[in-house]
Amino acid sequence: MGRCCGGKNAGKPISWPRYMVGLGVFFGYHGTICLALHLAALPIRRLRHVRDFHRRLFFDEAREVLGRRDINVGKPGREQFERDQACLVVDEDAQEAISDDMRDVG
Amino acid sequence: MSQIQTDILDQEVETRPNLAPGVYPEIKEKEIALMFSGGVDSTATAIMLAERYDKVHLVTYKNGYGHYYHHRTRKRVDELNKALGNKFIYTLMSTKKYFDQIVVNSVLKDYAEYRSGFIWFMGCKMAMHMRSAVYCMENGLRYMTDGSNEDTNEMVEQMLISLTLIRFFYGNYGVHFGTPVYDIERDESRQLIKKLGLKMGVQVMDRHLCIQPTCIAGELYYMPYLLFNKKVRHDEDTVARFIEEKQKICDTITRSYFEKINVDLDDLVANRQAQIEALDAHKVGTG
Repeated sequence: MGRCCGGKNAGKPISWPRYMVGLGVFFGYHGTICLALHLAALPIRRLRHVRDFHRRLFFDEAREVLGRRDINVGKPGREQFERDQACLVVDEDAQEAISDDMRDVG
Repeated sequence: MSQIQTDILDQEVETRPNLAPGVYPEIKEKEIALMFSGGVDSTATAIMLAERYDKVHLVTYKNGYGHYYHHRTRKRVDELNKALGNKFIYTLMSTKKYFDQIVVNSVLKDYAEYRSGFIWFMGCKMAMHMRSAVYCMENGLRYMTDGSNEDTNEMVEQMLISLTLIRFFYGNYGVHFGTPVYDIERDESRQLIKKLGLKMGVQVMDRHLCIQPTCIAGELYYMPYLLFNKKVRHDEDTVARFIEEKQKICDTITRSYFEKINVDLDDLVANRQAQIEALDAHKVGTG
């Protein structure tokens, strides 16, 4: 179960082909939305800050994806191993108690 | 036929059924509400709740920004009603104007402050929770639930810290919020749905497509995680600070919502609390 560290699959290694295909999907989808928001925001003023927000988020994410930050292409490295170990240091009992409590609906 | 309420969208203030100044709904112990998309987790939750309650109110929201295909949810409700004997009451509502007030109008400032795209999703979800709390107060419902699951806790709104803070938010209005399938394995949920013969959609990895609405913003934001297994960075303290800040806006919106229909919110909440205490005392008394 993905208790912490950004999701149950976070940091799992992916292959180079998957990374390359992923880049195509990432830039294709974001690029299309970027263009659509740019055009839509010309007549609809209230969309301008949504357009600007998307653009900033896109650029920030693109920088990280291209720099492979938190992305493990190929074999798992030492840095990833250390992160996985850090994930294990979670107060399991406390988490369990909270999730039990959340489940209760009368 | 299934019980489906008309889309309330932006006319909600004019169409409130159960509230008038000084007239408050009776708490219905055998009815419960669920934030429902039609996906695996919320469908499994709906099935489980239908075993314990006479009526389950399924509420779905449109945020107005790249949020499409809500007819899929309606189809799912029809399937559920057919399979489980009209136990579900479905309502589709717009949260756009609340979402605008909570996040969209200040999104650039918020992004500069919180440095993460989670603000969009948490803000969207808070608008939904706020509207859900209002729905419960309008309809005399004691319990609100959603299909949050530990398996998908990379999503900011399904982090334990978010759910815990949201629970406090509901508590202020005399509504008890819970997540019944939080630690149920997805396979178990799938089995529950398959057993009833409901549609599973198109399975891609762990996801089931075409059975719930599409959120373009969500797809974009979680794409690096899905494509590259990139860690989603949601710092708990930052998320908590955001929720606490936005909760104040939610409280203001809720208060003004009831002011528009001349209902005293404090009086309504006090009335709910008194009814709940009486019901609990009765339960204890009857063993």
